[in-house]
Amino acid sequence: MNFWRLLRCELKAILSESAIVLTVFGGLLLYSVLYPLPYLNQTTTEQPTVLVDLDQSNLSRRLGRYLDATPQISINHRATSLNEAQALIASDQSRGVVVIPKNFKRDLLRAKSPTVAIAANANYMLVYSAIAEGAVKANLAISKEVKGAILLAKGGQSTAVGIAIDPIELSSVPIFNLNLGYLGYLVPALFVLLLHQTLLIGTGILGASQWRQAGYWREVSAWQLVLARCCAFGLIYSGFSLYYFGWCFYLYDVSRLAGIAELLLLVLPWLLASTAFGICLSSAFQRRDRPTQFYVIVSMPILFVSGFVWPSALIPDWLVTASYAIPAIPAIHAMLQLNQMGGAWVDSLPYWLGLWLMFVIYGLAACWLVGRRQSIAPPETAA
Amino acid sequence: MTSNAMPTTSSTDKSPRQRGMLALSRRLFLDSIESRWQLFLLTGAPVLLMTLLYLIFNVGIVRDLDIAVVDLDHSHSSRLLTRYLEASPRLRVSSFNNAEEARRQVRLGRYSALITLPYGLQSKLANSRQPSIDIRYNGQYLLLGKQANSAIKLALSAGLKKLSTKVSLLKGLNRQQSQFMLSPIQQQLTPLNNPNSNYLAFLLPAITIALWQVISVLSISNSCSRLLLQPALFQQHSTAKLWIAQLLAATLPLWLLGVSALALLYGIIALPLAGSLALLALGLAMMLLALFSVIALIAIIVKDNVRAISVCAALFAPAFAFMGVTFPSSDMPVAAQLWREVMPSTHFMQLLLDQLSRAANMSDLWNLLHLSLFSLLLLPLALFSRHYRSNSSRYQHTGTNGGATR
Repeated sequence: MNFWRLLRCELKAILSESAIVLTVFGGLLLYSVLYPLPYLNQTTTEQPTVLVDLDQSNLSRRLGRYLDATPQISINHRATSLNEAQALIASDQSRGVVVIPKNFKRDLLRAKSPTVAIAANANYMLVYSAIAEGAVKANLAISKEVKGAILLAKGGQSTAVGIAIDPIELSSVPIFNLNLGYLGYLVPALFVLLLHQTLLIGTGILGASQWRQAGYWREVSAWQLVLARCCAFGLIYSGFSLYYFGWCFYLYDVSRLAGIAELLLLVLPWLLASTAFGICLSSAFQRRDRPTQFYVIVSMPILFVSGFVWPSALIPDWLVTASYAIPAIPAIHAMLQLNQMGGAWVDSLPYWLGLWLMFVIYGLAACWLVGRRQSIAPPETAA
Repeated sequence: MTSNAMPTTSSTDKSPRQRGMLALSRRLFLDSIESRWQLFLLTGAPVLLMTLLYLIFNVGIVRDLDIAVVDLDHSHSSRLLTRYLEASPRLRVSSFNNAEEARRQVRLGRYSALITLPYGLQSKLANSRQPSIDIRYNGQYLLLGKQANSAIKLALSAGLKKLSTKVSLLKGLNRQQSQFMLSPIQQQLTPLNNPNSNYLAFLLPAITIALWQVISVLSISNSCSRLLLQPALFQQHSTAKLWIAQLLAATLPLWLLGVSALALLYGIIALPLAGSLALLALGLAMMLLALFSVIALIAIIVKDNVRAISVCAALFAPAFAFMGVTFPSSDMPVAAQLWREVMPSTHFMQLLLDQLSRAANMSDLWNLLHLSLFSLLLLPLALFSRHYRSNSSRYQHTGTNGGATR
């Protein structure tokens, strides 16, 4: 059997297996829409907050207006007491509270710093940080006005006042993913993982359904089969990679800093290594309904160990080291470096070479394992 | 096989197999865990996965975020600021002499932020020429970048306060005046329900529920397809009885699993919980009923576990994103809000989040009501079962597909 016929057989086997088509083609198309769907609005804005103004002065009302004017906070209730605010938060009508203390204005005039209390429900981390950020911003704005007024009253010049308010300017700007959007944060790594997991599922189901029966896969040598399978899945997944990393990234406005050549160069060893890895694992599956189950339940730990949700420094070292045996992990890091953070190709070289090394190791292991499977006679008689 | 099934169908009532519902349910359960994988799903898998996740999030509170500092001033003031950064428990400072090298390292993703203390910081400060300190934090690692940014601002503002106090004292303000000038309004920030912003308390429950849902979905699907491989049972028992027995067999172990997960989270790890644990246990049961209704329907329509699992994976794997924990549901677009409604985990998670924030009250019934609506799917299930039953009896008579595995 020559290579082209083998490749045709592989593709035919993949496309005629309804479960693979459902997971790989249906799943990937569905996931490309479904996973980013909740994050389309990118950031948390206008969080419902209750304002408890115990002072009722012109200054406290101005602070209230400033709070409402920040993009993060929307004052949806005004309470007259802390208990009332508590009830509103308990019933989830508001997620945060800002308390302006009694004698707020009087204390400011007497140069006694009043304390504004800000609290928010930290069970929603993003909501908490949004409300805190907005409230701090509004407070700073009022503080600056107060300082400016005092300095002007003391006879300062308006240009000097600006500097005296802020002796040192802190200019804090995000780099990469400039709008701090959730899509730009999650989508690049998630998409690598989605492609990786469905690829493993595909090889797993294909393997599990073939081991039990006779077929073309017994007629060729193990290395030919592994190579052909890598090519077949590589072919399908390079198409999906183009769709995911090209069109979807464009659609979701995720930064695309790497050139197409660099990206293709990265995707090549990753797909090969993943397929070889998948073939290795597939030899352990006897039943066709197992691979999907196995890969679905392990995908969440893989996502969290990959180090972009939770700092790798805080995860046990051995766990992080072990995770590099999964082709998706170096691929996620290399993808973030190259495409999201505009790193130089040279800097991702270790990951790239690591992926090639993985391809070699997993490829050899796959040959051996497939060879063993081929040597077992098909247990057809039992069925 | 066929000859064996025939008499039992004709005389359902007198059959010795026709014992109580519980016995049937027990038989179905024992039958389902004959599969080693199913047994692993119910025992080993949750233990392993929870251990793994606990190891990952064990630390709970973000600390030692790596940041890079480039000090171009090398003055007393810039070193003071660096020391303040070093003193912050949330940060771990690496100093660079070479700005180019620091930038390269940041691009590699090794550092969550890059701070540049500019040349002339001290002299500009002394001359009131407003030096500017650059903080560049990594937005690609969104949460870590934001954490680093706020920790840096906190640390620097403490240092700057010290520097500015000196400047304003030199200008002839007294200490009290300068103190007031630095921060006229004090702020007090309180994270409610999770006093030290512990990630474990915030993320682990959601992940646990998501994992538990995935395991439940898979295990229910396995068990239902195993049932559907035995059409003889549909002949022996009434549809309602069989499905109720199956419901018990498939979901009771999962309920126990879920309850022990809750016990682990709120008993052993002792995360804060304001509401009622009993209500959550009830919620778990309702959620299982909902999941069972959905999956049994899928299983009987698809009739093949491989495809049923694929469909379930497609439906339930993204559930975590829609829970509204990491990203608040109020900021999701309408389509996502709708998808949220058809995910049982959403409603349970809402119940859980409410219990984390406050004591249980009547409004919790609303979430339970949502969950119970899923059981309406049991009606089409009954319909399909009837169809399946008449089909399978035909198969049995012709003997093409009788008995299957047993």
